[in-house]
Amino acid sequence: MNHWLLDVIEDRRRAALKASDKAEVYRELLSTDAELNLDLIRDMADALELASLDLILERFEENEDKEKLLRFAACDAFQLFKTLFTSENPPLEQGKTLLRASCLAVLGDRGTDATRWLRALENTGDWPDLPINSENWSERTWATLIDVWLRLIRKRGWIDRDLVLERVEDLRNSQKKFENVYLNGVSAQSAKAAALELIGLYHLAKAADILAHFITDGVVEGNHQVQQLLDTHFDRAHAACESARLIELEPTTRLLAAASTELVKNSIWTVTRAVNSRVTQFVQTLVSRGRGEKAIFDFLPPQRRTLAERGLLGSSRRAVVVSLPTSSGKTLIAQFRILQALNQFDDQDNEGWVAYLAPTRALVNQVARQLRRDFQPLGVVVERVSPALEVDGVEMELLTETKPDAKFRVLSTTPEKLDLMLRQGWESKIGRPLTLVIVDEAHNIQSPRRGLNLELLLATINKECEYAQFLLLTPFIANAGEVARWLGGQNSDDISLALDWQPNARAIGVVQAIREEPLNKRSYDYSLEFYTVHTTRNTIDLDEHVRFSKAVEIAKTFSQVNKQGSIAAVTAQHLKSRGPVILMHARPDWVWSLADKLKIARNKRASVHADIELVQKYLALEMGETFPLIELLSYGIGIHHSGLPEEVRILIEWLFEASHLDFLVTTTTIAQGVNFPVSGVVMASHQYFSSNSPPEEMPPEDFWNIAGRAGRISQDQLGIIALAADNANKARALRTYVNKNTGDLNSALIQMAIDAAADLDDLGKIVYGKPEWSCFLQYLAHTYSQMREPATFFQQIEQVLRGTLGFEKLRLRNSQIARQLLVGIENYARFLQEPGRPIKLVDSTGFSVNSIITILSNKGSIGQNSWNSKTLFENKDQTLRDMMGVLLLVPELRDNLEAATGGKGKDGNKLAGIVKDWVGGKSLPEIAAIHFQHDGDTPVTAITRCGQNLFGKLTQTASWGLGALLSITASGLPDEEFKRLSNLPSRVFYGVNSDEAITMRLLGVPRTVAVPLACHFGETINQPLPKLRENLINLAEPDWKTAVGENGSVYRRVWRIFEGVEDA
Amino acid sequence: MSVRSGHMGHQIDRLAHDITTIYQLIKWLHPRVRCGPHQAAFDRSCTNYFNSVKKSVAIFGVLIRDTQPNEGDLLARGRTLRGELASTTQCDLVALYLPCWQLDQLVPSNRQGGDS
Repeated sequence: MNHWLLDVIEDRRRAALKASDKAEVYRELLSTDAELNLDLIRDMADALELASLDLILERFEENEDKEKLLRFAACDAFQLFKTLFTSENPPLEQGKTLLRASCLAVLGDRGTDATRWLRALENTGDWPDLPINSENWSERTWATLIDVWLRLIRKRGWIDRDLVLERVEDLRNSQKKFENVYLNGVSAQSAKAAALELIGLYHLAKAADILAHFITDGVVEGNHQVQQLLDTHFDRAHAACESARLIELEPTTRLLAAASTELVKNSIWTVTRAVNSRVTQFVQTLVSRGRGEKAIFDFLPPQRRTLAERGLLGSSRRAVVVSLPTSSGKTLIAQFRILQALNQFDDQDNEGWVAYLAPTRALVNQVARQLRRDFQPLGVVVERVSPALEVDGVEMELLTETKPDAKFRVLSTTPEKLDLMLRQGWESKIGRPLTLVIVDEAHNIQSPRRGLNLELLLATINKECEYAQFLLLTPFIANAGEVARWLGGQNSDDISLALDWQPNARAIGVVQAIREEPLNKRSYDYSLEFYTVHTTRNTIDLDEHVRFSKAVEIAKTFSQVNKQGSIAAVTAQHLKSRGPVILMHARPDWVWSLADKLKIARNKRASVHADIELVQKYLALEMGETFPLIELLSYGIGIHHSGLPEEVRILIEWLFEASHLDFLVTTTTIAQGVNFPVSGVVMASHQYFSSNSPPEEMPPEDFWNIAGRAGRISQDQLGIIALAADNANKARALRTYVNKNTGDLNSALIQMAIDAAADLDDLGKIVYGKPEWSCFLQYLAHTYSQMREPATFFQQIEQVLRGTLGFEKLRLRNSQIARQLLVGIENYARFLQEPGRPIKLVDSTGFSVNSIITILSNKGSIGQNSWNSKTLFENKDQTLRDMMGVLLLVPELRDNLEAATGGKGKDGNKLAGIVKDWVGGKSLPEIAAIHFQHDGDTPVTAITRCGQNLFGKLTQTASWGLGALLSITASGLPDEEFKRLSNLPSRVFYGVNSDEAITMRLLGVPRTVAVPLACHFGETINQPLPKLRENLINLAEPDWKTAVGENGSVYRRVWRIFEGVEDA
Repeated sequence: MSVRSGHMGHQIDRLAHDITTIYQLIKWLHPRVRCGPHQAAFDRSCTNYFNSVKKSVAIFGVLIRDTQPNEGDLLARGRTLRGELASTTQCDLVALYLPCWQLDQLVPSNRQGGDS
């Protein structure tokens, strides 16, 4: 769309924005002011403001192109005014500039930026000292007006809202005292204009008062249509301006009127009005005074567009894909959708439930914590089940709970666990319908390792769960519509806002070491240069390099610095002054050495915060007094990788989120799971590294996920993502990498089929070499079983495959391979139809038929009697060794189990030994020393290796294998007996040796104290989980000490952190 | 800024040297000329203004006095402004002398139709 003014200033507008970007980068990265053409910036700021005023003239006109034009113009105007803002002007002038800029931000969908900017100004002491108590009534009224409107945009919780009301009231009360004096002092010629200006200002103050009431209450004087009330006052203010030809107040009034319309539109009350009572109740809790500064008064633009404009809240669409950038607030969107779904299925006897699927255990826990906290006031019970691939006795109780105040309505878990649950008939055992499946990070559908499993789970749910609806949350995919249609057909929708909204400004660039003057005959001085990379994501791109300061304590010379780790460390040291930095490297051992580089004198804390001390105490108890992370914490350095117990990782994240740490040094895999903001991200590597496959590039989705977290949004900060390059080729490769776009979301099946081409004929055998095919074979077996094993199954295969996302695409892209696959499936169907195939066991084990046959033919003497809970984990008992020996033959388990013992072949004896020590309660350092210490290893190397294997591979794989073995060998036992024995695999998962301790572990209690705490509860442990959780929350410190000993207070505190329970 | 505040010299000086005021005037004028006969001229002017580092401005000063004409009224002001304003800014000063009128009667008289 053309615009008379915007078209002619286009080039100068771009130049001004570039200058503004430069100013921001200089300020943020170098703490200096860049030399700028301020006249250009000022001209363009004014021109863009005028264009915005022009575009809001016809406020009732609906024109999408015009709205977009307005949004961009106002957004750019805001950015330029922000660059121009200086606290050197008189306070009232500063206030007027801030108000204009903030109104433009609201019009430009950057209201949250304005909020952060205004909050940051207060934090840095730059909030203008407005003369709200001036003796000059005009000045006082202007100052108050500016103050209250800035507060309405800043929204520092209820504090700002209360101050708005208070200040408007003060104005009202002071009017009598000051107004006449002021008007009497004005010359006769100007008196009328002065009086009319006051009238205008009063109406604008009244409008602020109305809006303040509305944002917290959703209603003003019984009126929910607040816009009409506001318009009345704006119209009167405008009339006053017209009469007196007030050249300053009139444009201000027009800007405020337009901005207030947007503020009302963004209000959480407007968006959620009249959806249902549960939603209203939820909104009341979100805005409640008790949340203090965390009260949520309005939605982010992507949330508003998703919920209101795209109608997700009122939607009857069965499948919706929401494709939004990172940090757009997808979780809140999901929460509203959950409440809507619960409301749809709310019959007393048939209350539906929602499954929230997250890819990692950490995210499952995080989601459960947040949903529980937010939904508790609504009486919606949220539970999580462990990612362990069996349902143990405790979880059975949880799932079948029927008490109204204890039965779960939302279940958080991993896709693999839900898959197994549903295939084992848990929807009918629960006795209530699955009504909504939320898939977080749904782009994982294309992950080579786990993607197909997720895809087939969704296909199965779609086929078998009558009432199930879908909400897929994903960062930017190009084919969201296609994915939605796959699940919902005509009854689907995609909501994509990929590129035109970002939570904050970001600069992505490459850092290289530059060789400077010689220091001596052999060494050279150095500097680091950061140069931005142009991306398709509207990131800041400068024409010049930015030089970072060097850190001689980390690297003295060019040759010392010019390594991936050192460049990253020096860069992080430079960026640290802006706030917490994440440093990523590919492997846990490299992470430790990278962290060591930062252990320099100037990073050492003079005093250690109490929260850090707590974590240090916990680490000393769990990992030993000499565990190096304890000392690193005193330098403000945290470590996060798969070699650490999950509890330690949670505590490190907690410290980092609370800004107690300057550096979080982590493996690249954190990119999949970070959802807390950081000021900068420094990447020593952009690859994923695994011990049993070559390194692979981090997928663009994961890169943009971590990039999206850069820049602490609450502090109006530029996000910096710096990729280290120790040579020119690497730098080139990184530039290309950054520009790799996320494209269509594709099924993993396509690549798997292409890779397997020659082996597709015999799918039964394929699983031995390519275990990732197991889930596909299970899908076929499950479907065959569900269709009651029809003789004509192979004739119906195409129809079955249509349920998947991948097959149709495979046929279009590579018809030859698709045909080969069909032939292979036909052969496999015949194989399934042979008599005696253990098809039923597929669903109870999560193994392919071939794997089950392997177990059956190798299980030897393992049978019902082998499952003795008293002896199974005893050292002298050989049963577990035999079981491990069998499990090592299972393709689905083999790689992880072999890797867990060092990858040197099948060692059932060693596996059994590790498992027994783990279940028996040996500490991590002990297990590391016994089983993972190699010659020449430091204890930390052994502990890291132990952690990686134990948590990353062994516990989950072994418990899954044992659960499956139990199903295969003991399914003939009575139900009650089988249920009791089902806890044995969970003992391996949780590392405890009693059923009661499993309950404690499910509640998040650290392993070390799970047994004593369970003993403390005695018989009372057999109560519904929500009740038990409540009792644990209320358990006082002395009781913890009685239960677990003198360190009870440490464990109590860390458990409360795990559960997200605030200390009273 | 009010219509009759201060003497002409003061007002002209403000307009000539305070670009904020000029921009305020543009914002104030904008809704009044949009969709009217002067829209095209306004658009052109704005375009020139913003593409000229805000120098493409023509300032008009109109002095109304109820005295005999006196060239000196404008001469000094004109000389000063010529020295201060750079191209492409223009300034036109006009003086209207109404020796037969009392200036403070001018406005009420006009309001009544100007026939008294």
